[in-house]
Amino acid sequence: MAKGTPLGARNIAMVALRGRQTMAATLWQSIRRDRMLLLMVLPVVIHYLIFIYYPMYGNIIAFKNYSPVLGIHGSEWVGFRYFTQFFNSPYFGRVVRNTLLISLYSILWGFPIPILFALMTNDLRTKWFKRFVQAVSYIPYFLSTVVICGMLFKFLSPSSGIVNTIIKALGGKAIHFLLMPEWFRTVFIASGIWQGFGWQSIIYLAALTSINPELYEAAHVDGAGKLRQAFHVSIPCIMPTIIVTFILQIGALMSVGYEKVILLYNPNTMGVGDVISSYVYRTGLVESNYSFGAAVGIFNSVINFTLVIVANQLSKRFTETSLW
Amino acid sequence: MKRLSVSDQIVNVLNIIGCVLVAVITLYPLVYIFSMSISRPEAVISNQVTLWPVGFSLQAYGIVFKDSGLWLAYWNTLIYTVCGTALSVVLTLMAAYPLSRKRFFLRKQLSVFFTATMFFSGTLVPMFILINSLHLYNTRWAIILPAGAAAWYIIMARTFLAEIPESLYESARIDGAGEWRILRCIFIPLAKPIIIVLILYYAITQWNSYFNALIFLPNQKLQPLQLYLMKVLIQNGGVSTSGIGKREMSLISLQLEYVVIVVAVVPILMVYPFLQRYLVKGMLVGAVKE
Repeated sequence: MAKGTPLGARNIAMVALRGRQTMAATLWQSIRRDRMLLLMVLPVVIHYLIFIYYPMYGNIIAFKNYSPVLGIHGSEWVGFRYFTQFFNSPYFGRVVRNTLLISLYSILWGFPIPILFALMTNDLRTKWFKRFVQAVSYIPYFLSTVVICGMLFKFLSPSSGIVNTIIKALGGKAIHFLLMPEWFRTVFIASGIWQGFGWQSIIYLAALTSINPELYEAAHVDGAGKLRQAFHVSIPCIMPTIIVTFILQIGALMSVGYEKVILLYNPNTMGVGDVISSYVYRTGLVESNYSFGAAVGIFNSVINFTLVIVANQLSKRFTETSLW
Repeated sequence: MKRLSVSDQIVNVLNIIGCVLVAVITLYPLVYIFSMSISRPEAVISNQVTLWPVGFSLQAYGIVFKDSGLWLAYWNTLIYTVCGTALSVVLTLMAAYPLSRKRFFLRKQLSVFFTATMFFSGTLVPMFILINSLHLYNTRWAIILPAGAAAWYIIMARTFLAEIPESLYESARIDGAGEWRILRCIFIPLAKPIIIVLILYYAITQWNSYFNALIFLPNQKLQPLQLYLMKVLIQNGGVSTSGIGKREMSLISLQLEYVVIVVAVVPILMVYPFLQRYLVKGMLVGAVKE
């Protein structure tokens, strides 16, 4: 102990040291106590680090001129070159517009249908019929994207498809649905609704079954018919669920996935069908412009992230329910 | 039963008609595909089938079943689904159990570590580079390994496990059981419903996915069923046929595609009625925690 050190300062130093020691000691104790739990979760943490966090970090190639030979670290920095390249390309406006339009029309047509369907099936009095309709409506959700698109190719074929067979039988002319840009969104969205409406109605059905039956009794006594009960009891009661679902969809406005798009589009319909994610796939992987693809990918995830945050704030404001 | 007013009766009838219509719209494409697959080839090619089968022929099934490519693809999908699902379920439980223990000192930090990943997307290109640099490209591991524990399902399982009474856990600890034993002997038997849900969701996702195989598996011998379907249905690759005359082939090639759809969809439709209950339950467990 050095002579002449003021007593107070030494004490403070000692206390701080002891504090650090006890903190280290408690940390060590916790680790010892929970070592089995730590050991258990460790493989999952490693898996996340490798397969999720490392690719996230790998996104820095968007700021580099990546070459597979030089690797992520060896490639030279180029700053925002690929971002400016993307913003200045004619594809920028096209893919952003296509993504937004597909999302907006999907919400416009696809959002009310599960709600309506939930109200309809909830009102069915015959038990077996109710269960049958519900069970049937969930089936398409479990078909794969490839099967759905394959069905579209078969059904919409101008020569052998059932849709055009019907059109021709009614005296019309066969339509090349999948080759016409004006039909792309309709086909894409309608098939999406067919696949998802039943499944999406489950969450509303759950909300509907938790409504107190006395509310309906009271409405009935007051002379409200079925329709008025729907508008004045059912819908207001499931409004929180409706709002949360709506906000979640707003949060996903810019994330139309590539899986279905890249199966359905072709050079004829690319003008309306090409979305941001499919553009990332095409430039990044098919054309091997790794850095450019990563830049577009980052652009998309930054927007998605912002939208989720905004949606969450909205949700907090209006419904007191939030994602976190 | 309460007496219904006239307007309510009209609403009821309209409602039933609407529901029947919805069921028809959902089922029609599926019935139609099945009918196309078992009708006479002549009826199929001349667009005579509208709903029910016209004539009966299993010739197309015979041809499709002789295609070794289909069986190989089926086998591959089976491998990916079983291994990928097993890995995913085990990892999910190994993350969910520690996170459900209230005294675990890293509980909060690790929850954030896992759930934060739900809000970041768009790592397609870096993922491709990663798989290449790990030398997994064009191997089965490229499909099995990345299918880890999804953050969403970790949270779902954690919520379920956290609801198992703490007293069970405490008494097992007092009796000297370690965490692994507690998980194996107490929690897993009690968590059966959630484990079934996890297995179902992971398995269906693996069974239905095609994209990872598209970008990681150029080797045809390793490709799963969904890629086989994509080639036959969308890229018009056709079913490989040997020993069939050209004339016969042009007659039946359209029907083959319908058969292929049936063959791909039937496993899911067969198990669906038995598992529907669990699927719906899983959807709701997830949704409540939103």
